[in-house]
Amino acid sequence: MDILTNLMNGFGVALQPYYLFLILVGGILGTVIGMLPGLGPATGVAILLPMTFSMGPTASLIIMMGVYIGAMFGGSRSSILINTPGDGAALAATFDGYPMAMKGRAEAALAISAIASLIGGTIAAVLMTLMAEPVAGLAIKFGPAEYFLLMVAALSMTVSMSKGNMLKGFLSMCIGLAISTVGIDGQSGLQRFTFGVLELQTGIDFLVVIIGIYALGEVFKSFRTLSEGSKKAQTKFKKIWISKEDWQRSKWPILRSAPIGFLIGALPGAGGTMASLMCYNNEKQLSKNKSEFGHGAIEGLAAPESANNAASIGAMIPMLSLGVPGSGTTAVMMGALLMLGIQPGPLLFAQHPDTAWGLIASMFVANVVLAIVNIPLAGVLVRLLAIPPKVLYPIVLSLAFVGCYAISASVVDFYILIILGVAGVIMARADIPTSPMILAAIVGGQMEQSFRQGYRISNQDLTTFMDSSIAQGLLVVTLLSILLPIISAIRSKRIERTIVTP
Amino acid sequence: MSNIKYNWDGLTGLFSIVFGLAYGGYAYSLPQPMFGNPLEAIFLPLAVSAISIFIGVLLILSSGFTPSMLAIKALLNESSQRKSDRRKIAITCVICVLYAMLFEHAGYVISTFLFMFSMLTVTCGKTFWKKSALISIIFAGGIFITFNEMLSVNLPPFPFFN
Repeated sequence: MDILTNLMNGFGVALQPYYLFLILVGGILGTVIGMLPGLGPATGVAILLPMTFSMGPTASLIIMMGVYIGAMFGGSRSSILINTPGDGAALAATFDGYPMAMKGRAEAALAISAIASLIGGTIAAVLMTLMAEPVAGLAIKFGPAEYFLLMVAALSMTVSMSKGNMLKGFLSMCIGLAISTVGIDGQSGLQRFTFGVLELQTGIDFLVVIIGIYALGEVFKSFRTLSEGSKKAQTKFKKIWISKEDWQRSKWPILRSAPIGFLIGALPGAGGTMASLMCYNNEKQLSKNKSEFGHGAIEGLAAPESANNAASIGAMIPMLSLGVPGSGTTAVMMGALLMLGIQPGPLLFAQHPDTAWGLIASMFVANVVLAIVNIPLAGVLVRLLAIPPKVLYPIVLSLAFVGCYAISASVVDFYILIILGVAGVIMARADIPTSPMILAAIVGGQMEQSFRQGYRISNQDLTTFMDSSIAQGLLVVTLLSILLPIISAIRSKRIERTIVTP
Repeated sequence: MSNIKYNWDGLTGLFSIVFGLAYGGYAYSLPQPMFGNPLEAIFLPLAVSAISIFIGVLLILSSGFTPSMLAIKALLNESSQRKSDRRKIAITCVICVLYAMLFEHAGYVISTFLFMFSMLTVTCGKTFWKKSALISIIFAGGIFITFNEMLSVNLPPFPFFN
């Protein structure tokens, strides 16, 4: 009952004209950014961040939420129309969305992607409403030892979900942790790794790391698409809607994929790409029309679209309830909250209920607003795909710099931004995942402080990190997240060997 | 030899070891804090250093250096288009560094105009210069007004009007 009352209060905030306007503006901006190849929600939220500084925390979070959900809606537009996903989470939409457009069914593809996003997002928002406060309630029982282990578990899960090589995921994590140690140590006052640079005494802001990797790094990587040239998108459509038969085929995939997407989104480091690909494969296994998948099966588009929107909302759970971001985008949102003097985590619901519940209610509202924007206005919005990337990328670079300056008012961060942008390109080339580095840069400082607090409180007894049942549970999660991928890799190698040597 | 696929694991492992040694060595040489456990401030750096070295050794043992050498060869033999892309990234980095050096001295509008104009010349070519100049001036002026006047974020003003 409390949840319902709180949610109603949240709607009281989210439905105020000012916040509705912010949701609409954020949603449209997010849709546009999501549509443009190479620019995902994290880039969008990162470069728009400085514009939210003059807003209050509720308004700031709500507009970023609009951008995030909008980018999820928009990402699939370019997948469907030009076979180029706006971001990783929209990759699965190319498998059947583009073939649908090629068969002259672009209208149905655009409609089902928006409908699936709406339903997936709404189901996830319901799950978020039910789970956010209980998870926060559990987190209140955490002491420094549990917090340290929670962050270790989040890091190990992110590393274990690194595409390809887990060892490189660990290296990426180490670089992120090293970044987090730059600056004056909060407990001893010791200057660490500042190399005599005054501006480094306050450390490297993790928002600079995020902007460097996501904005500069992505633009640098996108120079390849500049030389390849951009594809032309269809901009004239008949009525954007679906038939009854389309709905019959899509409804169960949408409903099944939403909770799966939500749960995957809630895991640190997993995100929309994994959720959408997993749900696509699930539906392919369950479908009676397996052969149609990859050739324009509408359920092959509906399932991942539902899942990636649900995942974007699921990623809010660890950020709001535990103070640990679940994705790059939520990391930026967390940074915005910290800059406005609000600590996300278990106390957020007690100390700032308007912000927490206003944000949750805005998820429901944003999904409806974006469906309204994306279905009838799809034809207008996709015209933006005609903006040449060669004009767009310099603008993104410039916005990244101004965003960075707005955070710290220091040009020293510009140099860090450039170094990180280049690092992003090199890491992509060497198949080193960037998400463990970003998460480590964000939680590293807090993780170290929690460890040292726990260590001091227990009179330097390391068994304090194994005492409570919560700590033991988190240790098990950490061990499993590291061991399971290793075991599965050993198994698949053995199977390969038996196939090669009969 | 012909069956070996190229990858960057060996060189990544080498980087990991060098990074771990340099980072750990620097951490160990930091002055001791005035109070508390002298090792507390370098617990995490030393742990990070140890993990990096361990990961580096594992990467080298699992892959060796041959695939990395093949990867370097493949990189050197890439198409001229890819080489041109890399050159563009390098030029962009130089422009970004010059922008950082100019930013506070020349003010936001002038430095951003020059930055945008240079970047648009890199991406669109010299023939596009009139449109590039127009986009650059509108963007630089628009962002300056938006941030300074509407968002209360103070960007460096014009140098001559201070």
